[in-house]
Amino acid sequence: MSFVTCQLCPKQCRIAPGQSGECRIRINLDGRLRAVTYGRPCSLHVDPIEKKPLFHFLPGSAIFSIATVGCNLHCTNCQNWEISQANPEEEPAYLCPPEQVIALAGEEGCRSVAFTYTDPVVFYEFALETSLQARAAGLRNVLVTAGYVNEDPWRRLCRVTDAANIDLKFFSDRLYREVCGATLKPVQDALVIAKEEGVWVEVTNLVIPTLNDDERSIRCLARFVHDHLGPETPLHFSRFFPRYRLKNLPPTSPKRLLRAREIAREVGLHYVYVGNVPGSGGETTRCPGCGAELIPRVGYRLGEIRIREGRCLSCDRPTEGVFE
Amino acid sequence: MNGPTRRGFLLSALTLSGAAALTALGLLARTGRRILIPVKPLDRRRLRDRNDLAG
Repeated sequence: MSFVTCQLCPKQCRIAPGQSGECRIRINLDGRLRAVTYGRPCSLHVDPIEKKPLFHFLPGSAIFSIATVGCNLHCTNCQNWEISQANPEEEPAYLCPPEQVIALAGEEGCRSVAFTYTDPVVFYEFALETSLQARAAGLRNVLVTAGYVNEDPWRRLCRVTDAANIDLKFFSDRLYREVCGATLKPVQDALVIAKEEGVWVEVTNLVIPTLNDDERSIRCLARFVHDHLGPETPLHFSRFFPRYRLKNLPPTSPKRLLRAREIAREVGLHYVYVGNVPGSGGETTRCPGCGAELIPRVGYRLGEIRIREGRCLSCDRPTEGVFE
Repeated sequence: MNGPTRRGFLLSALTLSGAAALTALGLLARTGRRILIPVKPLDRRRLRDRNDLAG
């Protein structure tokens, strides 16, 4: 019997013949490791880019979004658990190889392709090849990921990626272990590496009552983003809703989220957003220089964008991001 | 007449069941899991439909 060891993520699963790693889709077939969902996405959608969320990358544009089943994390609060925790033979998929993804994205008028919903780390080869072809076709690439990945494959993927929203779920190794079956350090490393590789990075933190909503956790997390990724890095505090196996906790109170935003601003971050609370005003981009509204947002609807050539129309201060 | 002893019978039974178990294990190891991903047709008109997926 020949075992194989998957070297893609820090779990380094040692996989027996016919079996898969923890992600369910990387399988040892005849002694070779195969990502069986290559070219077989279970989800294909045209989304507003704000849904990823990315607020400083081609705002207001449509993004062609794809996912296959499987995930290397097993978060008890997963919003997309029906596909992330499914076996490949359980969930119907489209036959859609990279070239067809690119063709569809172009036909739908999208300027970019997102690898999202589950975690693109596990459908790595499909994401990488599609990204290469997307670049050649003049499209940009976006990753929405938990960033639980080993350095070498991550750097390779980053080199064909234009923007990423990376979850920093907790600032606690214990909570990463207990809630997600992962660890904190590789995620911190992935964030820094993405930045080093020139990817436009935005960070999301889902604020979960009693787990990570205390002021100290929020301050530590915001300080990490500020010190290691830079004050210009957008940080999204997202509202938790009880799902999957974490139904015993209430939704996050909007007040708590607004306090989190306040703390992150105190730490020195320029762009802090509150997500999943429509009407809170927490999604509007403001100029850190003069406070003017640069991109007013209500849900996925945008008002007039007051940025020209990357600068605030009111005070001419540069606005960090990719706007063209 | 010398028939099979009780001990001999038990040994044979154990040997046979052991061999069967090993064969089954070997077969499993050889063939592993069969991966048959069900395919669904793509409906272009639904691509822009609102979806409930996060991210």
